[in-house]
Amino acid sequence: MAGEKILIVDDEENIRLLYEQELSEEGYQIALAGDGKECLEMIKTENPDLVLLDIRMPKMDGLEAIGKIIELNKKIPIILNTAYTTYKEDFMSWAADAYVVKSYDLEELKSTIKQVLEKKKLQQ
Amino acid sequence: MKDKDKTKKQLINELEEMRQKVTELKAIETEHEFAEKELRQTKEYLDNIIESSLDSIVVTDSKGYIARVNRFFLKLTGNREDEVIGKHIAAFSPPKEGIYKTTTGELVQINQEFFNAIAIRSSSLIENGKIPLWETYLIRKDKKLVPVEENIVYLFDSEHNIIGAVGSIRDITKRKKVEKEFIKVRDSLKNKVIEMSIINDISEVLLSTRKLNEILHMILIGATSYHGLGFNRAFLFLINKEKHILEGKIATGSLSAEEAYKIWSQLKPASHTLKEILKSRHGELSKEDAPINELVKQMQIPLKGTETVFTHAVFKQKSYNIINGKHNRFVDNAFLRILGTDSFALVPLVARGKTLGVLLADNFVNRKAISDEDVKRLRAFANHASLAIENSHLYKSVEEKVEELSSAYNELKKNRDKLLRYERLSAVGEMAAKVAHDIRNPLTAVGGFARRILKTDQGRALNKKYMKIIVKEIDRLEKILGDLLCFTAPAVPDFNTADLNSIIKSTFEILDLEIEQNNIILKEQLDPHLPQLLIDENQIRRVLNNIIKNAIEAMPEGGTITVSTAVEGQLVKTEVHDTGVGISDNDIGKLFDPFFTSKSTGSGLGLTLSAQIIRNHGGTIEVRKAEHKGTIFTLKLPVKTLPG
Repeated sequence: MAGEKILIVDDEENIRLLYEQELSEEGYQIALAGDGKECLEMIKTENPDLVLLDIRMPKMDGLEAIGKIIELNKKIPIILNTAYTTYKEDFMSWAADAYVVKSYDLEELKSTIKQVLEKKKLQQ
Repeated sequence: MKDKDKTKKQLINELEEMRQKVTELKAIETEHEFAEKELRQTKEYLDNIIESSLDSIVVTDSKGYIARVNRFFLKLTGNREDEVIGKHIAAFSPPKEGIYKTTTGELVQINQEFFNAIAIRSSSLIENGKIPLWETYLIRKDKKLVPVEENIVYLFDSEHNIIGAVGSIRDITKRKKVEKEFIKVRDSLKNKVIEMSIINDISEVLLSTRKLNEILHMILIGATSYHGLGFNRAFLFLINKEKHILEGKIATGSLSAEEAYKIWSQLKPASHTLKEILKSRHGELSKEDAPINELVKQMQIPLKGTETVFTHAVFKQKSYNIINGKHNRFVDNAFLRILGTDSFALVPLVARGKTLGVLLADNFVNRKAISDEDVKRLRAFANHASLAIENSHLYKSVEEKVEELSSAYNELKKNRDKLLRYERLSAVGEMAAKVAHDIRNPLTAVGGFARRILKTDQGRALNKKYMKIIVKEIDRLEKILGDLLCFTAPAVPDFNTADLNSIIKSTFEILDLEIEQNNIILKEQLDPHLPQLLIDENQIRRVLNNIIKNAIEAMPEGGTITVSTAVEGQLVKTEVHDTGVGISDNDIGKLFDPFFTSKSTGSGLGLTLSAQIIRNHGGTIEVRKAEHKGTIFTLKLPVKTLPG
């Protein structure tokens, strides 16, 4: 199954590992980035179908990265995935397609990814 | 012729004798003339003394008939000289027993004692020949008595025979008047001292209590006790403003004179002081007072209409000494019959210029006349008593105010405590939020991998069991974290129009499994005509979820949950009724407090958060015990429309 490519952006190595394993089991291709800057590089080289973006990261945080990603490619869907609920109130977060609070139970995240990708397919 | 010679000689002898006799007679006559002159001189001397004396002088013969008087005596008695001379001295003493007016302006009682005193003095006069200065009364022509001071001496002749008496009399009217004034001043001083000491005693005791009944009773004891004002009975009436009457409140004394006399005669002036009596009988009526109190409580004296001594006492604040009330047009005869006497003292109870009532006192038992002095004292006493009554009223209203204030204070304190708790909580919350966020990443990683291991078959059976525990515990941790974060930074509601009934239904769908597992019967009584509400659907679902989960947890043995919706004016009411164990009265008030929980697994924030969400929606949330069994949660949300 030629799964869509998801770019996982998180500064926490263990989270990246968890997501990589869980999401590849779902059949997705995975690309990884540790901060906003790396993320932008990866978008250019990997051309992912979806970006799963953490907010609090060193060098460039997720909200700053959103703006840059949209500049590069308006069509890439972005899911913000963070430990914080408060960023929902930051208007920059509204630019993302979804906002999922981190949980060890990845069901919500997985279903959101599925929905966002389906929406993207419908728009094309 | 011998005879002739003899005769001649005889004649000469006889002539000689006669001449001698004439000489003798002449000598006697001279002597007499001398004596007469001497007598005249003495008389003139006496006259001078009598006339020049500043006192009244009376000269009598040995039998007491007046021979001479001077002008002062005439002036003193108001008689002409011819009305006096020859009269017996006794005619100028009061003739018989009786009451006479005196020149000092008072009435004196002349009784047998007076005449006895005169008799004693008369015998002393006969025995000693004089009476030293003594005080008595003379009667004037106008029948008024003049107080005098007199001094009597007998007059003797050379053989020591009594030939008369001289009295020197001095008018002491002026002195008596001064004395009278002095006595009056002294008595009034004495009365003042008595008043002061009674009032002092009573004030002291009255101040020791603020209970109106005790005060009223002490006033009566003060008015009637031997060491107090000494009246036989006392009645106290207070004004009832609404009814325009004086209401009998309390009384002391007896109803029947015989009964009263029995008690009265047994009552020796007690060795207790007034203070001791007042203290020992703190607000207690004696048994003998029961009937009279029955009576006084039925007494209602109108203050409208007819003028009576009572209306005067109340409105003009006058005191009365009613003597022979039957003939006083301001006294009701029927009232006198009830009272059993027609003489009484009546004084108003006045405090700070305001009449509170009246105090009536009488001498029903010993029938002693009430003096104006007694009434004055009763009045002074009543003034102090009134202050105590007024103070008790004031104290009562102050007490009520204090009560109000203290309950307001308690309310405030409760709110302050709540506020403090929230404040503390928000400080804790801030820190907790930071910590919580930091926890979430490792939690996600740990939990996520635990789940992965659990999912794979690689884990051995035992590991699998441990993994399950880890996953369950992390589940709980995350739930706490979620509630805590929502609480510390509650999201601003995202208002959209939504249908409450469908939110309720979707909530049930999510909880489907739990409802089934716990043997719970669900009853929906949803009003199909609910208006659309402007609410944050997710937040309201969260609230419903919380409440229904609570209900499920309250019924571990199964039960029924009834959810109903209805329109109530401008509100939509949702009720969730469970048939569970219920909440104790003690806990029901704390239910919405943060971190309050009766469960081992809860965070104690679920309901706090729910309440906050409902408040943010402008609604209310309440909880109460159901009549039969279980608990009812009531949510009320305002029906709002989209702005614009």
